[in-house]
Amino acid sequence: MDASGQLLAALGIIMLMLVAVSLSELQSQLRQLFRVLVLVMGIALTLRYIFWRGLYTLTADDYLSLLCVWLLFAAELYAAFTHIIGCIVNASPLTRPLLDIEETDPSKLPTVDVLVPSYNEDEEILETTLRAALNLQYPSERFTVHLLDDGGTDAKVNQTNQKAAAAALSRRQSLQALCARLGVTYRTRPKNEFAKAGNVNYALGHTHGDLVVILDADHVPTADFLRRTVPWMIKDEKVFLVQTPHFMANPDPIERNYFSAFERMPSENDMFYGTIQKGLDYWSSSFFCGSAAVIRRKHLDEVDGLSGQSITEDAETALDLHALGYRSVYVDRPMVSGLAPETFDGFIVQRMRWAQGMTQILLLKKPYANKGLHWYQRLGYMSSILFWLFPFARIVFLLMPLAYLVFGLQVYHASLLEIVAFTLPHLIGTYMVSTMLFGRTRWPLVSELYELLQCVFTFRALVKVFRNPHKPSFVVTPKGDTLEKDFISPLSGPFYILFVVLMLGMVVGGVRWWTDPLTRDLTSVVMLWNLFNLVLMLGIFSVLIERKQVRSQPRLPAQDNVTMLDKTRRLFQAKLRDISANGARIIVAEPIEWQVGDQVTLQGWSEATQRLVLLPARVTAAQSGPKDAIVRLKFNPQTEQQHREVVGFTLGDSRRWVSFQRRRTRPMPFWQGMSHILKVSVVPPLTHALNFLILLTKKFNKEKTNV
Amino acid sequence: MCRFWLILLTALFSISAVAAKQSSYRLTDFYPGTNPARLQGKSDSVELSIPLAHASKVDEAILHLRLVASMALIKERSIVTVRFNQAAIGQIALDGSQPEVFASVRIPNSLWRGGFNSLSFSASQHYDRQCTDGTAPELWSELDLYSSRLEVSHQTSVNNPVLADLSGFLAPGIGGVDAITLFSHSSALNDNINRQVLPVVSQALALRRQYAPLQVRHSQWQLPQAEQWNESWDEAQKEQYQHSAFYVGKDARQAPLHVVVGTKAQLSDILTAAESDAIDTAYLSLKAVPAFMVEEEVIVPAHLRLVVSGNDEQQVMAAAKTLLAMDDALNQDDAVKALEEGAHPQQNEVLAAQYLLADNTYSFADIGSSDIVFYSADDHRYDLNFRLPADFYVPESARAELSLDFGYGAGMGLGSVMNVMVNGKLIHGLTFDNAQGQSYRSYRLDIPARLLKGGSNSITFAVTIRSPLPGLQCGEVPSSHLLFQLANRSTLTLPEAGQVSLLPDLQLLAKTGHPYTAQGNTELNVYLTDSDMLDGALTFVGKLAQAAHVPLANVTVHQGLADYQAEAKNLVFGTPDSLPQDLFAQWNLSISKTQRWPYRLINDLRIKADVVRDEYQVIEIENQPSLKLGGYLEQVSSLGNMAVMTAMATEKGQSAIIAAQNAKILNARIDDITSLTLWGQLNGDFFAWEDSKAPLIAMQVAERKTLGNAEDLWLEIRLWLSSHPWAWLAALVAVILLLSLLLHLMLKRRNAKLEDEWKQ
Repeated sequence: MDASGQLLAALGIIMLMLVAVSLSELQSQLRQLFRVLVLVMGIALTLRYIFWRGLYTLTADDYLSLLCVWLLFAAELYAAFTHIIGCIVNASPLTRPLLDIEETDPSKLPTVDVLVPSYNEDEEILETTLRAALNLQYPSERFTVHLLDDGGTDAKVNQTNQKAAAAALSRRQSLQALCARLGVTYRTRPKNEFAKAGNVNYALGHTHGDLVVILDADHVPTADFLRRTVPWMIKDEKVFLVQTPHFMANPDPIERNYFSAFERMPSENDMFYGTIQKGLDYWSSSFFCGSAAVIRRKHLDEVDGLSGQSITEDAETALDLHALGYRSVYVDRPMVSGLAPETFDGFIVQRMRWAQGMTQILLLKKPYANKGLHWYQRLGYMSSILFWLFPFARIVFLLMPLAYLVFGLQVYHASLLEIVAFTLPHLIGTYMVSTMLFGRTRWPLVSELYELLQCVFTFRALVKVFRNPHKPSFVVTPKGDTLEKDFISPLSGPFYILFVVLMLGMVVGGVRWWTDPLTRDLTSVVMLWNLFNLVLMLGIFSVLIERKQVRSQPRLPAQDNVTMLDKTRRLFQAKLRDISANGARIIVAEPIEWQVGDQVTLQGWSEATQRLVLLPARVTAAQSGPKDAIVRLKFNPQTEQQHREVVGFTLGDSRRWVSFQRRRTRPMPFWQGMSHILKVSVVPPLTHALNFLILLTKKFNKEKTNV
Repeated sequence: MCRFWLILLTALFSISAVAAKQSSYRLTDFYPGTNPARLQGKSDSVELSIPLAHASKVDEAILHLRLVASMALIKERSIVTVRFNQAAIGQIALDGSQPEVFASVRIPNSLWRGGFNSLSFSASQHYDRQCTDGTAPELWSELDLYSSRLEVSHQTSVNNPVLADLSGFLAPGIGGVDAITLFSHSSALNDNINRQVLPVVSQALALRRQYAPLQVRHSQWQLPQAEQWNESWDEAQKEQYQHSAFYVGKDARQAPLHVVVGTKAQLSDILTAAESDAIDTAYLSLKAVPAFMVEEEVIVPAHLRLVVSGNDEQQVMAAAKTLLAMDDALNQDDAVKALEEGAHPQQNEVLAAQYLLADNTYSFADIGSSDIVFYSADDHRYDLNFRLPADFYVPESARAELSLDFGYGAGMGLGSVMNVMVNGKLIHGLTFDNAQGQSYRSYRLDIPARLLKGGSNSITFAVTIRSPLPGLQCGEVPSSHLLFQLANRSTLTLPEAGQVSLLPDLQLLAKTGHPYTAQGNTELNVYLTDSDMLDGALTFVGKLAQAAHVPLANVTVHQGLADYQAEAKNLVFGTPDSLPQDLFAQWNLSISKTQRWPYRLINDLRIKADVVRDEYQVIEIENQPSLKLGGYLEQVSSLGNMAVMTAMATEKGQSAIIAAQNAKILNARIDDITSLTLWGQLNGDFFAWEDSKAPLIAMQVAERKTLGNAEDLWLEIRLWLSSHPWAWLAALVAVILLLSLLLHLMLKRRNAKLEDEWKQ
């Protein structure tokens, strides 16, 4: 069929998709059928596009153009392949019922070892995590909390560097005291081998619980964590893993610096845990994410604990156990809150580790050829792994317009009609499918922004892995950093270069458009593509401005009704507005005369302890009006019991996280997302330019002074 | 005795000087542009090409010109110079006070040459004695090409003609033979000579005419009857008479030669013994037939005779095919014997020589182009003409590629450009903006292959060379140094293509002769319901060969429709009374006794396909919207003076039917339709005409079908889908729905299984 016929056919399919998408959102028995219909039609458009590209457009006049043609096609193949297997994986997300252990005889409940591996994290963070672990609603005689200290190993304490050895010893002693105070088992090991995996494996050798819970140092469990997860272990002996979502209590650098929409916009985790893991769960492929999970020791022992070949030992272990025929379960309820990296370079370190680790699994474990996995499990793992190869494709998509605009290389051999008939329907179809699958958990263009931010650094990291899959080493993600002032991220350099290059592309493209009317159609299309990249690049500048972080603990919205008792023993009705691990903001229902520094007591229902708790606090700010008052409190626990109650009240209720997630999980139309990005992209480049000028001026003045 | 030889010599040599002929032509006959030809600016020119047949000699040629000049021109400085083959033959002063100018210019005989002669009019125009602004709009004159005439007195002049002169006789142009008579020993259509050999001869002669029409007539020689003998003639004289061109009638004598076709035995009636003895195999000869004179009176004038003969019908056919294939210039004798028949001429080889084939690279030299060089400031143009097979089919994304080696010299002024067009569509432009000149090697241009079509194609290089601006008032920079060159080592690369065409299509037929020229051994059957229609059939077959530039498939003429094969490639000539109704069973129209006319007013005439009904849809043919019609009216009436041609696709090609009220009208209409003006207007699949100027009606009546071999299954599938887009979409949607339902059920089943597991 010629291009005009193809265009007609594609339009027909898109119209059908529009109708099917609308019908898939209705609550009806056929909604799943319409969902599948949308997926099949979207995949058909993509396959049609790829076939057309491969059969009719891969020609070039010279070798350089041929290279670019093939690179671009390879990137598109990658994108199409990951999109298609993503469609298959997410075709039918599984929603499991919420179970509870209350129907089980407590004496028959399995024993649990809660392991908290640590490597030099802030003690305050550890303390919160350990206290929350102790608050778990599980028979106390049937679970033990262990702190696994890798910062105070024998090797660390006895190292030749005296200063470092002393610091290690001091840390060990401090943590031992903490554990003693809290009633937690302190563990360490002789050597720091195989990073976190080695730490956990060593502890596994010295513990005996039926089940193992692994919590990162900053991962605070809610009280119902074991209540909701252990029943799945009891139900099926072949289950080796019950994974739950990682809920981030603070925005990542992008959410904070760019969108400032942490409370309004679904985060990256929401997409993975809220949609993709559920899809993987349907295909029995949901994998271990390193924390917030319960693992059956018996099965873990069969693979000698956490695998250590890659630096993402969690996913690797899950793959090994899936290959042995064991099953995993995913419970979609946020019951562990953690901290996202505070700075952009911390974010990049984390992402590089994930990318390298997953690529190591691809190269070393070859899940696509693993005979122990079912075909759908192979697809599931490949979907999760191949995603991390996005830097290759993203860089190609970024630079290819420039190959044509600046160098005149013919990277895409097609007429305008053919582009409209084949490429555009594929893009529209892909977007419609992505919106249907992830629209509630991912706003438009946010994924592109994340990829753009990571691609430069992750690309280099991936190249190293491909060169030597055994080489990458585990790097702990820095968490809990505080930023005392605004500054431009030291990682901005590559983005300045990219920005200049993209701008050059626009200028040269404009000249080409003007001077070469015969190719105006193609130039216009490519310039639009480059403009899209440029708009995203403008947005990146906002991310690269690290904003001051005044709070030591992240604050999340809350809606609880509480009662306040002031120093005069008078009771006031109040409502929580937000809460953090060490404070809260309340609205008191009547005018007050409290001063900063006044001691008050907050009385509220604690879901963690299942009773009313009295939490001492100090007023840090008070603003009273004619009808009500806004007050900032800092909790001021005096006893160990009060400490635990504060942790339980603030961080132990999973309903808070569920409510918070639901608030921000909503779809956004494409054009609204685009206009949002444009709005927040205007000022930051000017800030960068101003900063650059200031630096230049300072340098110039310094040189002048020296002269 | 001397007198006898004197008379004989006179009779023989008289063949070399056939009576002079007077012809008058309007200059519009030689000019492809619009009339009048405008000469604008300080200096401008227009050029016409006047073809002269090689065998013709011009005795006298006079140009009668009418010009209209602008009133602003001054006589002393405004002149039109007339040049013939670059020689100035006249100058005409343009006087603003007398705008209309009539002038007669004699063209010296010595300047004429065989082939194309250049007649140019160069104007130099001024409105002032001082310097003139060359762009002033009042500097113009117009040459009225319609009113201007060329009066030529010419005659055929070939001394001792040989076969090499045959092309000269038949060449297009002034003096060329435009009507010729073929003689055979009978007029019966069951005679193999008439059925199969005459169409070959007709094509052979028409191809020598290149593009100019050739009217072919057929007649038979009959031995003189008793009453034709003069009693005073002795036996020798009677024998002389019988060996003269007695059978050539007055009409046939208008041409300087005639053709006789037959076996040796058949021709023995009219050939001398010596001539007859010379025929011992496939035989061709071009000889003068001496006049028959009695006592200085010419009873039968001399005439030139082309003999196509052999010992038997197979050898006559071999001789005819030799005539078809041979290059005349290589045959310097008056007779040729074709000794070996062989596989001749295979259409594949002939086609390959005439057409560019897909998936090949041709240099411009291969296509017949020499190096192209343009000098001086002017608007230059070069057309690279080539032919593609009529059923050339490529996917829309296919690309042809030009790789050009060219350059331009130093000193080009502002506005010097090269534009490249393919079949009139601009594909590339380049400014000559390097003052030092520039040279390009392997300059690549992509041509969307959809711009190429079956038949004639043209890649035009329109090069405008301008002198630099002088910078001074009245200053002028000479431009003779300005140069552009395009090397003939430049190449054209064609993509892969299938052999597919949409039929019926009379326009494609007119441009390429398709589908009657398809490769392979397919036959073309020509059916005549009246043997008198043989003239028209031979003329038409010759014209088709001209359109294709190659001979047609094996042509066989049939008397009547008893052997009619509906699925083959057919040409049917008939009258309404003789055409059976069931011949038109599959058509919306009928030209038999009861006619079925698809009147336009019965059917919706809307051009835009806003609504598609079952009975009609709009089909566009090269920007000429025409209608596929479903309604018709049956009636009984005569065709009058008009002829009707209609075509229908068959399994193997196309059946075309040409009908007129009687054989005489049909032959006359065939002469009209094979003329240059009307042939190019063939369109649609239903064509009616009654003169050579314009058709009465041209319509698309039947739905077109694809015919051919797509070369591979994939291309064939694409072609089918292209013709049935809605079917494709419907099938795709059905497959998607089915697949979705299946997947949904599978997913649902797995979901249920998972739920059962956790309920346990």
